[in-house]
Amino acid sequence: MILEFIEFIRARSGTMLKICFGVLASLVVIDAFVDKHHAHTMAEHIPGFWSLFGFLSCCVLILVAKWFGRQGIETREDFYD
Amino acid sequence: MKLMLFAPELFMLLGSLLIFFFSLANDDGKKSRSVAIATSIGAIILCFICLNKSGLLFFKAYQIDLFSQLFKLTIAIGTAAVILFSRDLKGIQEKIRPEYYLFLILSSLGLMMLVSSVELISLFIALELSSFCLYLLVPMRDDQQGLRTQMESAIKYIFYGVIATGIMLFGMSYLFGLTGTTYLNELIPKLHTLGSEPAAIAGIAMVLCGFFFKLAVFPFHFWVPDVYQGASNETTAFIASVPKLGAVAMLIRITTLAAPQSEALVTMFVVLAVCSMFYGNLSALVQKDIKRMLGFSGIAHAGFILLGLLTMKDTGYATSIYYIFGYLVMNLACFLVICSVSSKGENVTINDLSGLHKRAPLLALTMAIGMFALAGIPPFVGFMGKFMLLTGALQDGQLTLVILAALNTAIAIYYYLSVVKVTYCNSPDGHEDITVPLMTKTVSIGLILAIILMGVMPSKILAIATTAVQGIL
Amino acid sequence: MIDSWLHPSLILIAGGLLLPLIKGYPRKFFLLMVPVLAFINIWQFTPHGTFGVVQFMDWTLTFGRVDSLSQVFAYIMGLMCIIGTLYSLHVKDDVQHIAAWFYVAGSLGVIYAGDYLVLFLFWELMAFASVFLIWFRKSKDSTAVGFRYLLIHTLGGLVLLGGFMLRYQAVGDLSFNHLDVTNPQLYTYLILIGFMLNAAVPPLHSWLPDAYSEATVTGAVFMCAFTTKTAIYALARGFSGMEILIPLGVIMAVYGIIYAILQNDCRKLLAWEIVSQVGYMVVGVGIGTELAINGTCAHAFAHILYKGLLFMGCGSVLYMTGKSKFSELGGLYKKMPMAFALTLIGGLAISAFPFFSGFVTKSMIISAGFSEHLLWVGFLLTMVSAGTFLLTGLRIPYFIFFGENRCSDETWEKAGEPPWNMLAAMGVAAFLCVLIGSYTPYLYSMLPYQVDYHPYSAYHLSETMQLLLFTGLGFYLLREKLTPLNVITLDIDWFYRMGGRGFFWLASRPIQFVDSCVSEAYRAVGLIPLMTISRFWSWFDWHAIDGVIDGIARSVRGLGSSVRRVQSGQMQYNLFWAVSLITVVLIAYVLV
Repeated sequence: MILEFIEFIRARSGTMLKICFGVLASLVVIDAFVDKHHAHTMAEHIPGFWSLFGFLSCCVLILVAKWFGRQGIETREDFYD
Repeated sequence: MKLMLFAPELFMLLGSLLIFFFSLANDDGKKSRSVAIATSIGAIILCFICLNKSGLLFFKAYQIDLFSQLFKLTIAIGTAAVILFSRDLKGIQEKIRPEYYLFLILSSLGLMMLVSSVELISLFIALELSSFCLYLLVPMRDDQQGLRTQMESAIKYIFYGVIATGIMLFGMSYLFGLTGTTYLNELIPKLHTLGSEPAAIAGIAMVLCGFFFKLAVFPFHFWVPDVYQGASNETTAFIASVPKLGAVAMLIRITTLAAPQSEALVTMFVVLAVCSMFYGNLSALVQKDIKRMLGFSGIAHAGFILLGLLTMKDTGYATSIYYIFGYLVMNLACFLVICSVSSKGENVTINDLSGLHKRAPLLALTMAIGMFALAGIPPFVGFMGKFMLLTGALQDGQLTLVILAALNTAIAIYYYLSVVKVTYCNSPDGHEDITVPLMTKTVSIGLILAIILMGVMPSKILAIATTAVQGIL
Repeated sequence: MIDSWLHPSLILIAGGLLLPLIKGYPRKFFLLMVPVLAFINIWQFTPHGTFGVVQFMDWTLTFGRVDSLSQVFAYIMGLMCIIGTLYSLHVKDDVQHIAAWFYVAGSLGVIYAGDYLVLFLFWELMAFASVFLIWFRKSKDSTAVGFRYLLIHTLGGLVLLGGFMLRYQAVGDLSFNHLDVTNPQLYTYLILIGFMLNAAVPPLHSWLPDAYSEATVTGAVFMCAFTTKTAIYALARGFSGMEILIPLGVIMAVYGIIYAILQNDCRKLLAWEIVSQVGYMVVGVGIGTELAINGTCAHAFAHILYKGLLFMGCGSVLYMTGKSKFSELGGLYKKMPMAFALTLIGGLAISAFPFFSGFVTKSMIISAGFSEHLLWVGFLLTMVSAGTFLLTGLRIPYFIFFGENRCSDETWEKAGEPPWNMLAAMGVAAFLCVLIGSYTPYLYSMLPYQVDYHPYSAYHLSETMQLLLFTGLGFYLLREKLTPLNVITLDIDWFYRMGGRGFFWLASRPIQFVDSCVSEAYRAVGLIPLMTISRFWSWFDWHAIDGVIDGIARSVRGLGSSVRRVQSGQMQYNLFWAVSLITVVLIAYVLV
């Protein structure tokens, strides 16, 4: 059952991608109408702030990690042998 | 009723006489073994009965008090345990087994007399009685590889023993020269008034050397690894545990001779303790033969015992006593396993213990608990002992020493645990199952219980030890 | 029921000791019964109060100090023990179960301990029991890894021991309560270091990825739950409000996630993520407000379940295929769909998706940061949340279960659904992850302080969904960057790995050298004369007997005694030197 479901989705990957982008866009739009009196900073009142933050976080983390790894932290598997 | 004061020793003497007769009658060891068992168990019972006796014998050279009786009891228990678990004496030729038992019993008799001696000459004679029997036990191993390693070990043992004895006698002559007496109770006040006179300190230090040798404190330890390796497993079990009781008892007696808080002596103890711990632990790390490993670890434990002595207080002495009692049971537990695993009396390497928990679960458990206890892991006796020795030394202001000692416990865990790992985590590949006789099983359960109970309830033993020590101060 | 309380550790220890006696069919039943009994005991028969007070020498020991803080931790530990045992039900080796139970017993003992001595006792039990869970992997590396693990924990234990002994000397009290964090002494720091080591706070963290990735499949499930979370309990009890923990926790969260990105081994990735997740809890302890402590407890509770679930998921892959590297896996959803679905639930829970457990717990800590106006803490931790989703929600499912199939034919053949007990254990954990996230009173009612926190506000939902889904976008765009490489990462453990080697060199070379020198010298002064003497005696024996027969005994005896004189002269000479050396040493000791 799980298998069939996954196959079903994989067969329609183009449509799925479109749906996903649609969801992303709608999230930003909805954010403009949400009650924000719990927010702690001014920046959070910008619609879609957390979208930008999430996207940038993800990119920064991956790039920093890869840069860090290239500084000699990543090494061959038999290093300690 | 003076006979009762000397009853355990007398009983041992009678037992050894009986074994002597058997040795003349070409016994194959069976009868001698029964007599040896009966003698040692009888001695335990008699020691227990005489535990609270006190008195002086032999022109006041021989003192019976709680201190001596407590040590006699543990010596008898240790001897009995060794005889009980060394069931077949695999490493000893059949025709000399009666002699083997004879010297074993005589050696523990010597130790029993040692702990009661309060006069330098009788002390010396008792020590020699015990030592010479041990020298003889070592070369009695049968020559399996044809290399005569047992002879080499024996000769090393004798040489070092003789040197240590010589130094001790030299020290005794100093003490006699300074005070004109050989009785400890007369020596104490005179030496205390002499204070930190170099000659007095040197004399006491040299007498201590003789017992450092028995306890295998650095730099008197060089015999240890070779003798442990060369002697048969049963002999090593005895040498590694029982004579150390006598050594600690005498170290306490001799240390009390020095003026309280004698700086020079404390410094000597500190240096020897640190050297022993580091030397023993670091060397033990790389050993393959488990007896050698235990030999080196014994050096480190000797260093720990000095931690109690250097406080020069009754509580410190009492923890040393507690620790050596604990060491006796832990060590015997390990040697019980070694003797049982060795099929023909050969030496056992750590890898021979592979998968022991499948081959003989009880032995594996005994080994694991013995090793955990030696490593100083709660709740076993080794932890409580180390803990109290360290807190005692800390209260005495020896912070650096305590840190070094604590570091050593961390090093030691490595090699003790590697044995446990081999017993539990390796597969037996090729090694045969071991059938354990009922008697050995009983002894090993007894030892396990002792290790746990002494660790969980130390206060009773400590209280007795403190009372005993206060009696001789 | 009030005056008599049975310590749950005792149930586990007794169960462990009885286990080898039980064979055959009842064994599996017994295996499940023991942790279930322990859990029921924690859950139903442990009232708040102080129990098991024992007078031991000069000290008063407290084995059972039960309050809401210890209860919430004990509850989840007991629960996890059931799940872990269910997961390892197929393991035939009794000792592995015993080690695991003793380990849990140690953990529960620490949680209920009311003084440092009892705490230390169980603290050590944990370390020594858990090392067997590594050794039973029986791989080439596991021996060394186990020893490194043990060594580092022993050192941590010693620092802890030193800390509370110094404290005992200073204040004369062994009881384990909140320490004076505003006016810390040397002993405060020593105790803190001891706890921090078990919580894997950098720079004392590198044992964790090292050990957990090398543990047995079932052992890792236990290990990921207990050591760090017990340490978090100890920190929460003793050091709440210790401000230095806030920056340390944030560093830990960021550092952990960066290293996790670089990992190729899925269990190592999960292990690094523990470092990162425990960072949140350390921050919570450092903030120390009611909300933060509630958040820490809640997050620890949820973390144990989802991290256990993830380790079970990756463990089942390792168990079935024998592989745990991303570069050797991929496309496995076809072979093990159930395992995939359950692992995904764990991934969603750790990523804090709404209706999963992380959502209602992690945000408490972040909110506590924001409400104390520690904005940088809040933002950095939010950033790490994005990273967490990137790794566990996306990377693990993608590279193990989807993506390019990098399996060898053999691996592909072996792959399949794990045994029923593994799936059942994962199912239970997955159910609880959803339950906690969807029905908040279940967890919130257990927390030590009154909870006045509502995770399901429109703003929080919107914030989380944006954060997570746009992270997904980032992953989609940058997924090439995350392609697994066959590498390992260097870390602080370089120092002690190399240090350990140096130490061994010291032990094996110089010290052994001295020892063999002395032995050699002995051979020269001891053995050679001995051999000469024995040769002489055999010669003497032969010739003396001959001599009696031939009537020339007298001359031989004369010769013999002269040779003997030479011999004994030599021995005295040897001994003289030995004695003088020792005397010199002695006098030096005495006079210095």
